[in-house]
Amino acid sequence: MRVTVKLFATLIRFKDGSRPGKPFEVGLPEGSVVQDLIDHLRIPVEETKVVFINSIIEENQSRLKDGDVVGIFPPVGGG
Amino acid sequence: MSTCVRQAAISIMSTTFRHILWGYELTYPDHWIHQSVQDADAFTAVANGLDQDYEGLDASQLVVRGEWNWERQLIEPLWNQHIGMMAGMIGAKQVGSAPWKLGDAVGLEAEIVLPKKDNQRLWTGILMRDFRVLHFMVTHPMGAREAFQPVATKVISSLRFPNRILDIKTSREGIPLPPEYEAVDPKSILADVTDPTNWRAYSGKAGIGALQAFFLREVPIHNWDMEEYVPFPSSSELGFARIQLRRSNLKITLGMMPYDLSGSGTITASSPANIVIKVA
Repeated sequence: MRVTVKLFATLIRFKDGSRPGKPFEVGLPEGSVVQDLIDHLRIPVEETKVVFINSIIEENQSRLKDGDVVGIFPPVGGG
Repeated sequence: MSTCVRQAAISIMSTTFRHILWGYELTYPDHWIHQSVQDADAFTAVANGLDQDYEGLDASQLVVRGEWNWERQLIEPLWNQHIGMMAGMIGAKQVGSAPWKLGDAVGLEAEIVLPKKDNQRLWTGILMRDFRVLHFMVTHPMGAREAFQPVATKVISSLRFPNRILDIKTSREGIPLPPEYEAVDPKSILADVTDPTNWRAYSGKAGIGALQAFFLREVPIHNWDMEEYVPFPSSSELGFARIQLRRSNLKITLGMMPYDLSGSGTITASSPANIVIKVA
């Protein structure tokens, strides 16, 4: 399956040529969860704070499906 | 704070309370009364059910309060704080805790043993879902247990966290606005604004924690990308909560500015906050 990913703030360094919120596609095995995506992008879990799937806050164990848009946001500003 | 809407639930002839800021719903009996009490919402069977002096058998109440947990503190330390605060307030001597799960939300619950002279029964619990923590407290006279407990259980079991809440109003730029916030002169909140045409300001009394829950839920739904978020409270010295938003070429800075309504001189996560928006 393919999901669209948006990285924000400091997380853009994990994707070459990215800028905050610029969407890119990632292919993942069926049944993958958010944490699998984070691992695929090689983002340390402690650098992720909130994940939006199709604009809804979800947990790292939430299951992804083909066509999902996933926004990943870091802890910033002391958060 | 009375940020709720009431609507008849036809199927069970009950009333739905929707907290637009914290993003939860409860269904309660039609004859019950909802009252906003500071930063909490209380549900009682009689209008004076919250009066400390009222001693009727129907002096029963359910109180719900939200807490913003951006730090994602684990449920156990939050529970210890909650129980510690309650025990201190009411002089409870024994507390037994048990895990509690309701839908996607997890938490802990306990029946608190009150001093023998007290004729009240007290049950409390907390539930955590994403960055929201809901604190529940149920009190009723001992003699009302058989009548009130099943109803209170049913009300609490009706808890839902809807993903979408319809009819949220927006600013002219499309920023979602919490209910009961009124547009005001930006200079009334930020005296040093030099370009007031680029600012919007809204005055209201919702707690800054509840406002953060509202905006983090609503801004992505309204097609804004959140580029930065400085929560309040946090280790930041900013002194308010700030979210940087972008939609195409439009960049918005949204500030939630807490103020001291009580005159206590302290600002906390429950303090009310005004909203300022800078359009870049």
